[in-house]
Parts: sequence; structure tokens; C-alpha cells
Amino acid sequence: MANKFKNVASFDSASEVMKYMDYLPAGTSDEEKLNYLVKYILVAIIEFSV
Amino acid sequence: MNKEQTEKLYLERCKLFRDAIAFKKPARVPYYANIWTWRWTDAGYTVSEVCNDYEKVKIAMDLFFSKYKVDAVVDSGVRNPFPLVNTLGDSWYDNLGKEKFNCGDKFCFDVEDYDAMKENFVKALWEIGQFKKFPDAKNYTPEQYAKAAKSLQELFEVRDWLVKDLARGKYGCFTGWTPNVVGFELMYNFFRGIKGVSLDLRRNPQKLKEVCLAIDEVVLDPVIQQLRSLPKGYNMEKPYDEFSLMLAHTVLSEKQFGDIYWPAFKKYIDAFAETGKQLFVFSEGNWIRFADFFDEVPKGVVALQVELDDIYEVRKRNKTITLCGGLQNSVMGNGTPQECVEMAKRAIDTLGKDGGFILSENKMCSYPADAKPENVKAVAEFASQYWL
Repeated sequence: MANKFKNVASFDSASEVMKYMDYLPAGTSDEEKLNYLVKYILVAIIEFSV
Repeated sequence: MNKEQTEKLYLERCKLFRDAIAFKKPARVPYYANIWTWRWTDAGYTVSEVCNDYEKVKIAMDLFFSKYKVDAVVDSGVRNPFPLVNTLGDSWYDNLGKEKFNCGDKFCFDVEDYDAMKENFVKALWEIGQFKKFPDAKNYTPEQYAKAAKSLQELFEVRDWLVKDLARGKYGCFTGWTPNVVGFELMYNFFRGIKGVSLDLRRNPQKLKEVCLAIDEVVLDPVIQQLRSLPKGYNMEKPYDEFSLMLAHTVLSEKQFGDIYWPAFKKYIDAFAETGKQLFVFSEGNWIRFADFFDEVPKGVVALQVELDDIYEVRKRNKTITLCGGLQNSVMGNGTPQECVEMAKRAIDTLGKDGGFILSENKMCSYPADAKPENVKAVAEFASQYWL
């Protein structure tokens, strides 16, 4: 099926983003991947290291 | 030092903090360096050079530990991770130069976004907050976005190297910075900004409070759950169990603090008291007008950075919270090494003989004028030898 998410404007696209996060350890759950993405957004907004 | 000696020193230093926070007489009072970007210029770099280059961050941190015999440093060394920020767009910081590091009031949510934040904070963070700050990133493909997000893993790797391999592994020091804060802090510092929350406190106080609670559910509640899932008592491989910030109280009246800030913060602090753990609170501005609230906090649970208040007056007012400070930046930046050592000795003798005190600069050392290198060196040398 063609990718229905051409961009990441919608929060629903997070599930599509997760398919490309192969740099995380094998077995990382979708919940852990979402937590990772939320942390990424927070650090990018906050601009402080964690 | 060999590996075993370095690890022994690290654990001894952690115990100094644990004892001080627990109001037990420590072997000596630990020196917690409140020294941040000062390290970069002290290493001969410009601020803008280091902000964008993790290798220079590492070199500056290594040089700092090799020169100054501190027991711990507040942040992990990176401070502002521009390589990560730039994967989505431009930084909020500007005027980067040799020493400057400026950022105005900032926000990424409007008051019109409150309903969405309340409804589903993570969704609002994704669809509104991040793209208000980084509008171009909205057009990333999922694959591009996933690639950009790898920068967080790179940041973790740098941080782990600084914390574990360098600070602990090479110098026996603690360094760390993973603040967990109440929702109002995030609203004040980043999401709505100082002007935004100040207006909302007057025009939409109930909605602001509800959004803060929604943020707490996502950000703070998991930390509380995690604390409760751990074995009771301290982890002696850390100087304290968690780190928090208290900055936003500066715009609140005592009544507003009691309504919108304290309930969440108290819930967080209670989790430490109930699990036998300790919390370090990095506070700025004046704290003493909120002292009544902290009378509820049991002895030995919280350590507090004292910035603008007279730390000796704070000690008279509160007997249960460990105070961190005692080194005035005005003296560290303008005085002689002898004057700085005398200042440190007075603080330790007056505040730290029976625990309850950690030596530190009262304000963040960001610029060269905040402290003379010879003064940091003299205080660190003195504190490391001043056994109680």
C-alpha cells in the first residue's frame, strides 16, 4: 500500500515515522518509539540537553 | 589514579552529597560547581564554536575537570544541543559570539491552543508546538523526520560519554542534568513564555491550570511512577535521585503559587519522601517568600539552590531543606583567591558542619566575568581538603 503520509504534519504520521527508526535497538516497542519521538520534540523545543 | 581509585573517589563524593542532603555530618562539604558555558571560554573557545560541535564540548569538559578539583558539575556539558535543534530548524538563541548566549522570551503555543493541549497534549505538541517553532519541518517526509530524530540518539551518546566515561570514569566526578519539572515550568519557560503565562494567569487562569495538569500527566506522572517502582532508599551511585527546576515561581504571587504550582510540585516531592529518596531543586530568583509551603517537606529529602536570597537568612527560616550556594559570583568574579576561600570557609563553618549544606556558586557561571579561573581553582582545592 502506498504511503498515505506524504509529510509529518499529522500526529498520525508518527506510526509511519517509526518504521524508519531502525537505529533503535531491535525489539523497541511502538510505545517506546513514541516516547523517544516526544523526547526529541521536547529537547528541540526546549533547547536544553537532557 | 587507576580505575579502582577513580571509582572509589566517585562513590565517596556521592556519599558526601547524600549525607549533606540527609543532614548527617559529611566527611567534608561537597563543592557542586554551578559552572556552565564559562567552561567553554575558559577552554579558549567561543560560545558559538562549542554550541555546534559536540567534540569541542567534550574537550572543554575534559579540560575543566583536569584543572578544577570540583566534586560535581550541574549540567552534563552539552547545555544547548544545537546539532539536534538544527535538524528541525533554527534555534531560539541568537547573537552567538565569543561570549554571548542570548535568548528572548519564547513560546510555541498560543492561548487558542489550550483546548487542544488539554485534550491530547502529545498530539498538540506534535501538530502545533513543534511546527510553530519549526514550520518547515512540517513538510518532512516520515523517513526524513525519522532520520532527523536520530540526532537524539547522538546526543544521548555524547551525554553518556561525558557522564560515564569522562566525569565518572576519568575524574571520579558526578555530572548530570535531566530535569523533571511541573507543567507550569514548561509553560513559563518554553510553551507560552513569560509574557504568555503572565497574561494567562489573569485572563485564563482556570484553562492554564488545566493545561498544566495535562502536561503533568505526560511529563511528571511517569517519573513519579518510576520512583515508586524502584527499591526504597538511595541509589548510592548518584549524589541525589532526581533533579528539578524551580524558575517560574518568580512571576507568581504566593496565592497563585499555592494554586497552580505547589500541588503538582508537592505531589512530586511527596514521592521522594515516601520512597526514601532525595531531590535536588535548581532554583533561581527569590525563594524565601514561598518558604511557608516548604515547611511541609520532611527533613533530608530536598536540596535547594539558593540564588538571590541571603543563604544565611534562608537557613534561619528553614531548618529541613539542604541549601546549596554560599559562593557569591560577584566575589568569584572580582575577588582574590584568598577572599573566595574565606567566603567558602565562612559558608561551610556556618551552614555545613552538621550537614544540610552544599557549596556552590549562587548564580550560573556563564561568562568569563562570572568567576576568575584562579578563584575556582582555589575554592575547589580548599573544599577538597577541608575535612569536618
